[in-house]
Amino acid sequence: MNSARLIVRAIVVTDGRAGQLPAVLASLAKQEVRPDIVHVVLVGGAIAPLIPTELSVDVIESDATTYSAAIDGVLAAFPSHSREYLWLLHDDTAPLPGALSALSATARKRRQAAVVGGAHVRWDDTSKLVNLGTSVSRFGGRRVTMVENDDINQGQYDARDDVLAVSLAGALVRRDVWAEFGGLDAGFNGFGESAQYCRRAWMAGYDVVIVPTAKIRHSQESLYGRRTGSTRGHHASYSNRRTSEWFHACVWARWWVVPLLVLWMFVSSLGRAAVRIAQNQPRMVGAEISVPWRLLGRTPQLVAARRTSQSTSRVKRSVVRPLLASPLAIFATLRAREMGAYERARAAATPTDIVRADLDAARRRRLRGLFAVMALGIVASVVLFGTWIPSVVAGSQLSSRALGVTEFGWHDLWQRTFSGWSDQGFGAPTLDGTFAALLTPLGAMPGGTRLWIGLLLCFAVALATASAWFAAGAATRSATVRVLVALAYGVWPFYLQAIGDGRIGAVITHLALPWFVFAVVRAVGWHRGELVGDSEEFPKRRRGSASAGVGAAVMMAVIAVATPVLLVPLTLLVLVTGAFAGRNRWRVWAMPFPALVASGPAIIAAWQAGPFNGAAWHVLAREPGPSLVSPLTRPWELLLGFTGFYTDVPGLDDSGDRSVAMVLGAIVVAAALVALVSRRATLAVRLGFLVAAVGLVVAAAAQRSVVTLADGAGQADANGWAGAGSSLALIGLLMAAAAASHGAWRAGKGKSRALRRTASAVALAVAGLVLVGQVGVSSWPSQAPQPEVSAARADVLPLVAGLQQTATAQPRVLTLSMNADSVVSYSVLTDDGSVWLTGRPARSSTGEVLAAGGEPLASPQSLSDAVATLVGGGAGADVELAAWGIGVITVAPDSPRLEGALAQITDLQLMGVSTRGTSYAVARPGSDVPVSRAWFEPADGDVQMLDTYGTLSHGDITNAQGGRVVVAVPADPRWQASLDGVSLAQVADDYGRLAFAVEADAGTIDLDYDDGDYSRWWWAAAIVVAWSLLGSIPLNDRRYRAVR
Amino acid sequence: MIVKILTGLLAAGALAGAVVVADQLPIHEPAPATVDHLAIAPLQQAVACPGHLEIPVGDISSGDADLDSGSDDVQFETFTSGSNTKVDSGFASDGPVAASIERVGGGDIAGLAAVTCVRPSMDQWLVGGATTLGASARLVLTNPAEAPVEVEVVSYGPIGQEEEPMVIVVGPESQRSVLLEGTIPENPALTLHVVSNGTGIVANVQDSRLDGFEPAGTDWVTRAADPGTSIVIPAVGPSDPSVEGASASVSLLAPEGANVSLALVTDDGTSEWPGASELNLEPGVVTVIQVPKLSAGAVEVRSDAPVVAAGVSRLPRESQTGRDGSIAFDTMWVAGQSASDAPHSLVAVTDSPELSVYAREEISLRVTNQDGEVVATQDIPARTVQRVSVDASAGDVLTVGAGVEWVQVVSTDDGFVTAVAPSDSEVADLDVAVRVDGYVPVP
Repeated sequence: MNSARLIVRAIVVTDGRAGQLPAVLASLAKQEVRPDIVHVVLVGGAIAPLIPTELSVDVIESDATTYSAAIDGVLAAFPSHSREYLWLLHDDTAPLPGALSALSATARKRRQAAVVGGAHVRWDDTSKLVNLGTSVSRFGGRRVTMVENDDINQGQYDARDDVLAVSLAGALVRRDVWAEFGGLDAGFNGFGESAQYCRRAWMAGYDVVIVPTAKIRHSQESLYGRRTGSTRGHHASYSNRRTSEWFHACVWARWWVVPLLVLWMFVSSLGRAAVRIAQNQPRMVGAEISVPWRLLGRTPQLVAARRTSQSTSRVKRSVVRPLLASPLAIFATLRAREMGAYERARAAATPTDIVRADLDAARRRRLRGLFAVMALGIVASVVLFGTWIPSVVAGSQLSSRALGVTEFGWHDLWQRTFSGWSDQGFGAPTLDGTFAALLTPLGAMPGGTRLWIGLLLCFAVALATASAWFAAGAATRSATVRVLVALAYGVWPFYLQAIGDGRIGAVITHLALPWFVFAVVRAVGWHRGELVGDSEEFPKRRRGSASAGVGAAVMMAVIAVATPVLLVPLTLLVLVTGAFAGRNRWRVWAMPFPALVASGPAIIAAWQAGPFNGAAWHVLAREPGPSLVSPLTRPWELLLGFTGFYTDVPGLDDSGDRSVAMVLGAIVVAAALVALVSRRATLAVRLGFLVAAVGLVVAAAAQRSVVTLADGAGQADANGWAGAGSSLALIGLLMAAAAASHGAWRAGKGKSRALRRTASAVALAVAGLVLVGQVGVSSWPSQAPQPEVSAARADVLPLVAGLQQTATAQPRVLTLSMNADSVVSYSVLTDDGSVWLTGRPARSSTGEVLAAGGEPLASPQSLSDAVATLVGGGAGADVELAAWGIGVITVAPDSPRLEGALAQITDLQLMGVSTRGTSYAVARPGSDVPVSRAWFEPADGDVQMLDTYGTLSHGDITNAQGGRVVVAVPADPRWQASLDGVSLAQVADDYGRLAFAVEADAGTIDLDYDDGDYSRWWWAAAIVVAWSLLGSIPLNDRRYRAVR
Repeated sequence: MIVKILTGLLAAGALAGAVVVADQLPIHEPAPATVDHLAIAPLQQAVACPGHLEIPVGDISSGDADLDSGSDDVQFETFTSGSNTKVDSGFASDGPVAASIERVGGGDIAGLAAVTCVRPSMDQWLVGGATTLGASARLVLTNPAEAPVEVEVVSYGPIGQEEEPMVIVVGPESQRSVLLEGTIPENPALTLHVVSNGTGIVANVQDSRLDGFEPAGTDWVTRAADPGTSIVIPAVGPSDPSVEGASASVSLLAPEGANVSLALVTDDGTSEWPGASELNLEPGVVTVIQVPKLSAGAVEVRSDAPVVAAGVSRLPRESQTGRDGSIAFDTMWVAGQSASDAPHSLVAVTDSPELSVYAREEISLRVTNQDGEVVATQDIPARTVQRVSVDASAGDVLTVGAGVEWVQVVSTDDGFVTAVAPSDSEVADLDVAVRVDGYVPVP
């Protein structure tokens, strides 16, 4: 062993932005073995520090822009010695006493070591480790630390020596190797240079050794961004570090792997961005997305780094391989990090044994309550709407005139929301497709809309009860109160009526409102803790959750889509609530954002129509889903949940029956008033009353205005449904009552407590009885009217008619039926029955489709005449029908008069008779080509049919000397047609249909609907909602705070 | 504490205020769903007639020609303004008016029966006929159209509506006849409500009576005016008031019940009809009222609710088969007519036809023929019935303007009688109520 003396040249480079420099110099002075020479390099105009008197320092001012260049500047001025080592120090790394002696001892022994590094410890706590050697993953570029951050150093790693890389900060570096390598490679921007240098050393046949006993305090000023004045901590340097990791990977990968790495990098950055969204770290999303682009920006440096690395490599890659981290090792590292974070969080929140016993008891109460709520909710569902369940399970669909049919394809929903064109009636452009988007998930699940809308309505009561249970838990921890609140919410008369009427929008809102309230409360941190000991809450301080905030935003968007009438009132309430939310106020105030984006086109339309008049209100209060006339009630009756429908209770007169229908509402109002008088939960009770007041006004205003206008497709005029506002009012009252009840059982002492408890018990028992009575009365057979919705067979039209609809000709089907009063009802269908759930195109208060710019849409004005002609057995109706793409007429079963009449008409051809009705084919007058949705009319010759798929039409035309393409939809400038890629001009049509002039002889026609404004709003809403959905995943972002 | 109380009051006030404010909001009621009522010209359909009379029991030969049910003395004549096509034993005509007249000189159904061809209807009433002993009612359904028609026949009698309606399917361009005594026995006064689908049906009842071996008259019961509150039967009783043994009656039916007053109209005006000025008709019950004073006249039926009505006159004639002095009868059914604002036409089934014309208001009657020539004029005072002789020959189409109710009365020297009602030569528009509505399955 050669004990020849080493020359140690310490070089401290400072940019003057770290306050630790004096301490660094002081630490050098305290070394037992001092460096032979100490240089302090001042870059960037840094001011010379105060030098400890015992230390002789050579202060150099340098204009180098990089750390490596600053060192090179020093070396250039001083010739090299034999066995000279550079001790590279930063202005934030201070070696502990004895560090240099330990390092140089090892350097003397390990002459092959190009780098001898020390253990980095925390600046402020030297017992905690920061770095004890690093490795990189075998595949890709992940940097793997070989010790957990903040691990306590108990000497457990003292045996470690050879590692892939050490931090060059505080390390002894052989000057000859430094010179051979030409210093540090450019392109790492301060992070990962050490790993790169060390790896080059290994590949050049040198060693890299860590000396765990040589400890160096490192304050990591760059990593925490403190040099640049950032306050974002380790996030500040994240994208830079991450880019450097990929840079490292690209330097060392074989040349043909590099493109794959780049590709992987893009994929990885997107995945990581999604996780960042889920963690509610929006600024980190940008950082993640920027990584691949930053790397691409460093391409010249990458090429250079690859060249220099290869030029110094002298050994096989397999030498380094054992030092790289295997996937298993990476997994172990990640697992250790997660478990450590979890354990730390758990340890911080661990209660005492006494508290734990209380919590266990509370959990048992809670579970019993939840079980009771679920059981009672399901029983109530079965009692009230149980007759539907077997039918839905057996394959029937729920339908009604307002609900329409529920058996239709998810592609109907998707096409409606994505294209912006509604197929109802003869078609119309639409403002938004959010309602269809809301139901698309139901349609996409196995079983489709039929099953899931069916089950949603069958078990709506149980679902509402469960939702309210969880929401009530945020307001009170009393299981009994939660059960009662949940049941009252689940069997609220307006809700039961909405289920019976098939008002899907109102049902969804009723289900979403509790979750919205729950999420708002959680977002602010207002939720109640479990009561332990002497009325203390556990945990004592409850943090607001960012995920809950985003979740509330999602729920608000759902509510605003399902029942647009609540958008404005909820936005106002959220703004008011935010004012009380303290430091979380912006979290609350941001909640309406997704809802506003999703409703953007409607808000603009309302603004243009008003902004503060009836026309604007008509747009805001629209009901995109099922809409049905409902009776008018007085506001105080609305407050008490009186829908206008009630049960004829035996032994009571009419006013008695009406009173019975209001008992539940009276109990709820009384409970809220008691809460107000009790002066408990001040803020919650007052906000609850405000919510109730706003909800009531909305309910009354909706009920008193006509929000849905006849559309010529089968929808009749209807006033607004008060249920959405009533649900809001109800949740306000229940919130007040529940919040005030929290801890009431434990309040007071002695006799007054006993009295209070007796009174509470009696009141709760009465409320329970009323709830049971409510279910009984609502399910009584004399309830009038009986639910509109009923279970019926899933197929509506005869098979022959349905097959025609699905063919590429896509003819429409005209259905005729006659009621007992000899009134003939007709309907024009593109689906198997009337589909209303895709959402109705919004209309102005005068009935024009808003998206059509207020112009009336063309439709067959004389369709009634055509129908009457058919009913009278007269000829000539086929011209009108074929012109509008009606290719099939189906007469409903049990309409023999109609069948007889149609049998007389020689222009119609009987297709088949079935239990679903009798179908006739309409022939295109003067042609053998079947009736279709889109066709080409040559100037001379027979019509040529185009194939239609949704809004797309396509077909080849031949042998034409010009002519026109006609589509049986109202003309709209947003339709585009092209012949062999050359766009065609729209021309006027006598019927007002969509028509394009064609001047060529032959070619391929392509036709589609393309609404740019609609698409922009659609994508904006889709991105915002998708972002919010990801962000509402409750990933606990705090776990990652200490890492990275 | 003060803040708590104040904010509490504010909260309660907000809710109370909401109730008050909400009550002030204006109310807009949704308009009810619109139903379009459209008058459409239905498919032009041919008029159709039932054709030949048939002997209910068939043509039975007894060996004694006087007792045979049939007769060789049958004359059947058809008149049309267009061309006829056979529909089984009936016929259809593409002209606007057509008629047939048939004289059966002997046998069970001896009598004179004329009938005007009418267009098919989906809803019609036939008042007349009986299925008691000695009476036969043969319902004849004629479908001149190219599609099958399903017919539902609801029958009424003096004890009300029969429980089970008959459902009869009539094939395209064919005829079905049903002997009602087989399905509705012992009904002394029939009224049929014939409802059909498709293009409708032409319904007639052959009313044949037999008194022992003596034929007691045969005639066609034809379509009565739709239920109305002012019905006129323009001919009852014999032309010659001196005829002994003649009788006449009026059959009435109010589907929903009605209070009815009847008035007997003669050429002088209306005359008293004791006991018939205030009649209460039970719903669905056929009521038969005898006409008291027999001379050529008409009957006015006024009611507070819709009724259907028809009159039958039963006139004696000398029997040709029995002993001398024995009496046979012939019947003449005249269906009730309601006020019409359109001209009506008929085909004269005899030369020099005689019309029985009733006018609600005083009118100067002008009868024109197919060439537009005026073939008769006469002043008809208000609420009188007049016999008008027309200078025309059999087969001429006679048209009379609106405002009168009238029939051609045919009586032969040997005592046979019948009547031919005019028909609306214009095809009435069909009123159809349509509305657009959703189409969902019915459970």
